[in-house]
Amino acid sequence: MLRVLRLEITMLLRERRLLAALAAATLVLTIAGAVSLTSAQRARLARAEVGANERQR
Amino acid sequence: MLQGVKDPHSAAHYSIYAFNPVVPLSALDPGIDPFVGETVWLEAHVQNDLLNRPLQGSTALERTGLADPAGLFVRFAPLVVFLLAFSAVARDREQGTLSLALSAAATGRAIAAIKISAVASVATVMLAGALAMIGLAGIVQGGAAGDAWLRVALWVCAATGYVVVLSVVGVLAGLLAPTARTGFGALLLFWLIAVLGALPAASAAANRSRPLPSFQEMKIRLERDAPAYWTPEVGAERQALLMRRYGAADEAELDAQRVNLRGLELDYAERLSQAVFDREIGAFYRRVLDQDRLYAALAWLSPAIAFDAASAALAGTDFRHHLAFIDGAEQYRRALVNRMNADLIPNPARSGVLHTSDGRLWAEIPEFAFLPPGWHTALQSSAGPLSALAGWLVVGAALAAWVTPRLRP
Repeated sequence: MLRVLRLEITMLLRERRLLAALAAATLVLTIAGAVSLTSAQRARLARAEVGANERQR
Repeated sequence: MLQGVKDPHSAAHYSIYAFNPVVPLSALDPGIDPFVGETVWLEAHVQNDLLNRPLQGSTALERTGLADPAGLFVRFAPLVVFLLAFSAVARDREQGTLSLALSAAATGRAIAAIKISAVASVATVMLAGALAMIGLAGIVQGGAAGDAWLRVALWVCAATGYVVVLSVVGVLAGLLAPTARTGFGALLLFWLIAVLGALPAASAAANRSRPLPSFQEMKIRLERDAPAYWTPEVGAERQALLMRRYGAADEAELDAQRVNLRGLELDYAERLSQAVFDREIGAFYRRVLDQDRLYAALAWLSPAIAFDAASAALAGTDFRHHLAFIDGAEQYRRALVNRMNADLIPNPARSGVLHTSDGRLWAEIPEFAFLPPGWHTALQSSAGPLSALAGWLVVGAALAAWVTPRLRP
């Protein structure tokens, strides 16, 4: 069963156009994730900065 | 702490900002975070609205919603999975190997099981795997504790469940349709209806069935029932009531009892407004939670709704998690203001000089520290949609087990 499954997966990944579509989808998700990570970090820094000002005030 | 010597009630006005911390998995699923404020000014008399919505300072890409990995996944992963399923089934159909296999020893059930497993494995590794990496990067970036790891694990399990359901739909459509093209057309239709159409439709249905009260009207009621500043007539009524409670005929008699009338009045108004906030703002938020619950209940209509509702809850960016911060900040504000008023009450003005306090009182107030809800809250919120997703899995497996033995060469 596992051997057939491996064969099926190999056949799927052998199709270049399909592989390109998969890679493109993964890339889009990764870019979205990178942007999302950047905004999360930006929000953290902004809160830390305002928080520090607040403590000084 | 650095307010120096001043009237405690003034100190309650020159209070603090409370910040809602960015949860580690917000990079994976920002949920409602971009649309709600992240900061609240805590002061006497009012439960202020939250300020600084992240969307206000976002980039063009973020404003389009394309920087939401979970949102992209729930909407477009079906296309990728269906493409894989179509490819897996159409290839065998075109090459004639499907008929060959069916006429040989292989059963339709075994063929379907292998194809579903293959499609689900590839899609899970490529898509859910990429998202898991984003989640892990978020944990490393946010320096999170063990709770976040569990949340990522649960999120990946839910994403895998979603992919498996889609794989079942994709492979079965390919195997059962008279032609491969018809099968792909059916899958596109499924995507349009069960994903792109179902998500906004479920949201609209929740809004229609549990409409939110007008925010403006709520504000007007708050202003009417719990004003920050009251008229002299209302003030006189309250003073009379409070003096009666202490058996005093006038303020001088209260002073003799060492009770500050202004402190009593401020405390009375504060507690009155707190009850009004609980009634009005609490009802508004309960309605939002109702909407979320209804949206989650509609998860039985589409696996996309099931995963969408579970995702934000598991990431800690749904309304329930946001409400925990609002409640935490409000409880802190009430404790702070009540403590300041409590300091004022036993200290009436002496020879016309108002009572003041100093750093010793300010030091009694602990720093605001909000601990976001743990994974059990996430599980509580997502239990319904996760059950629906599990239901979709069971239905998919049962359907596959029922129809695939009927496949003929």
